Amino acid sequence: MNRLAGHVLGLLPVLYLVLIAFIDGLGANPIEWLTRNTGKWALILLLASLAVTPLAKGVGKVSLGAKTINFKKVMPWRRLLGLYAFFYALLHFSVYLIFDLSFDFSFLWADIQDRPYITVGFLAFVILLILALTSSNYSRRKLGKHWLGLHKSVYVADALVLLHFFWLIKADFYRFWWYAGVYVGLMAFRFLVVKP
Amino acid sequence: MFFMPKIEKNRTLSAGLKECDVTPESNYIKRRHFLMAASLPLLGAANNASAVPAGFDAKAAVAKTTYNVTDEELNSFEDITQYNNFYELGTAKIDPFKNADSLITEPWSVAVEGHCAKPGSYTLEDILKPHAFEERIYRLRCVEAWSMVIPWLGFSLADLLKRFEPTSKAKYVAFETLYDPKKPLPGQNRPVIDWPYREGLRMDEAMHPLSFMAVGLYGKSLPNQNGAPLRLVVPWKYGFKSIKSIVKIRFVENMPKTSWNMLQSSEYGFYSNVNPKVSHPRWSQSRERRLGELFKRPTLMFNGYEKDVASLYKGMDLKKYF
Repeated sequence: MNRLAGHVLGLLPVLYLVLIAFIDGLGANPIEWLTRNTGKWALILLLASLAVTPLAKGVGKVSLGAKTINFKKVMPWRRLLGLYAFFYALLHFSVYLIFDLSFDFSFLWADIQDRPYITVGFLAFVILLILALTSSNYSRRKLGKHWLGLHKSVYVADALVLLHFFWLIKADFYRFWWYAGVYVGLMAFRFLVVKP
Repeated sequence: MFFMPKIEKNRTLSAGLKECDVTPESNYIKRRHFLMAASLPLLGAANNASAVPAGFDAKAAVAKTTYNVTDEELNSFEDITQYNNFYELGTAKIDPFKNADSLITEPWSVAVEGHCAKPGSYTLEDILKPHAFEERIYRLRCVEAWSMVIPWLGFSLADLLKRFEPTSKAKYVAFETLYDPKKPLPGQNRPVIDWPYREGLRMDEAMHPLSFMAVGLYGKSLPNQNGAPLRLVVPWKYGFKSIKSIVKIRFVENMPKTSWNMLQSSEYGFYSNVNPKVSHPRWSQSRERRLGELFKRPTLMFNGYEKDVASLYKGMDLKKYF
C-alpha cells in the first residue's frame, strides 16, 4: 500500500469520466451527468478518508491465516483521499459555476441564499477548501494543536454533503441511505470503539 | 380508412407554421410505415386491401400540425428515448430505456369510468380508431429544470374525451398508469410512489386544444420508455403531469389525487403549470437546461404557451395554486 496506489485510486474516477465521455458522450444531459458523478466521487472519497482512522486505530492488525494485514499502514492515505475528495468537490463546484450559473456570481449568491441544498453544499465546499489549504505538513506545524481541531470539521463537512444530497432527491432515497448508513457506521465506530 | 388525414381548418394559436418546421423528410417514410402497421390490426382481415395507405399523403398530415414550436431545434430521437422519468421502469434517467421491454403493451385496454354516458372498457383499437393522427411539436419542461422539444404524433385529448360524453358533473378527469400488483414493472417493486401513478386535469384544461394524447414520436409508434401505447401531453405543465401508459380515465366531480402531490404536497401542486416565478421550494424554476445545450436558458411562463392557456387561470393566484 504505497502512495502511488493511492494516487491511482484517486485518479481512477476522473479517468473513467474522461473515458466514458469519449466513448459515450455522457448521454443526453452531459452536464447533469458530470455534476452527479463528480459529486458522487467526492462523497465516496470523503467516506473512504473517514474510514482510514477507524481502520488504522480500531482494526489494526488482522490475521488471515498465515498472512497478517497491518491496517496501521493506511494512515498516510487519510490526507491523500481527503485531498482527492476535495479535487472532485472542486470539479463538481466548477461544473455548477460554469454551466449552471454561466459564471454569474449574482446567481451564485442568490442560490446560496434561497436554496438550502446549495447553502449546505457550498458550506461543505468552503470547509473542504480550508482543510485542503491547511493540509500540508507546514500548515500542520504552524497550526500546532489547533490543526487537529480544525480538521475534525471534516465530520461536519461530510454531514453537510449528505444533507446536500438528501435535499436534492425527489422520491427515491435508496442510494442515499447507503451513503448515510456508511457515514453513521464509521462515525459510530470512530467515537464509540476507537475513541477520540 | 381512419388514418386518412382529415382536412381541417388551420387553427392558429400563438405559433404559426413554417415550411422549415416540419419533421425532416427522412421521417415521413418511417411515419408511413408506422401508420401502415397501426392500421392493419384495426381494420381487420376483410379490409386488408383498403389498408394499403395508398392515399396517405404525409405532407397533408404534416400540414395539419398547427401548434408547433417554430424557432427551436428538435431534440434527437436518442435524447428523447434515453433520458426519461418513468419511475415504473426505474428511477435513473437511463433505466426506462434499459427496462423498456418489461412493459407489455399488447393487449391494452383503457377503463373509462365516472360521470359520463359511455363508460366501459375500451381496447386500444377502440380508443384509436376514429382519430386521425397529427404531429405536434411541443416543448417539454421537466420540474427538474431540464427541457426538450419533441415531435409527438397523436390526437387531441378533447376529441377523445368527448366520445365518452362526460356529464355536467364531470369537473375533473383523472388518469392512471398501468399497475398490476401481481406483475409489477421493475420500478414498482419498491414503494417509491404509492402505485399506481395518478394524474388529473380540470375539465377545461383537458378540453383545451393544446392537450394531446400521444401514440408516437418522430413518426414512429411510441417507445415503451416514453409511455406506450398511450400517454398524455400537456405542454404548459411540468412533465410529470403528462402521465404515461394510461389504463384508466375517470370523470370525477372533485379534484382527484395526483401522485407527486400525494408524495409532497408542499412541493408539487395539482396544477403544476410551468412558472419561472414560482420556485420549487428546493430549487429555482427560473431557468432550465435544454438537452443538447451546455448553458441554461430562461424558462418561459406556461412553458411558452401563455397566450394560449393563461385565460384558463384568470383571477387565480398562481403562487397559491402552483
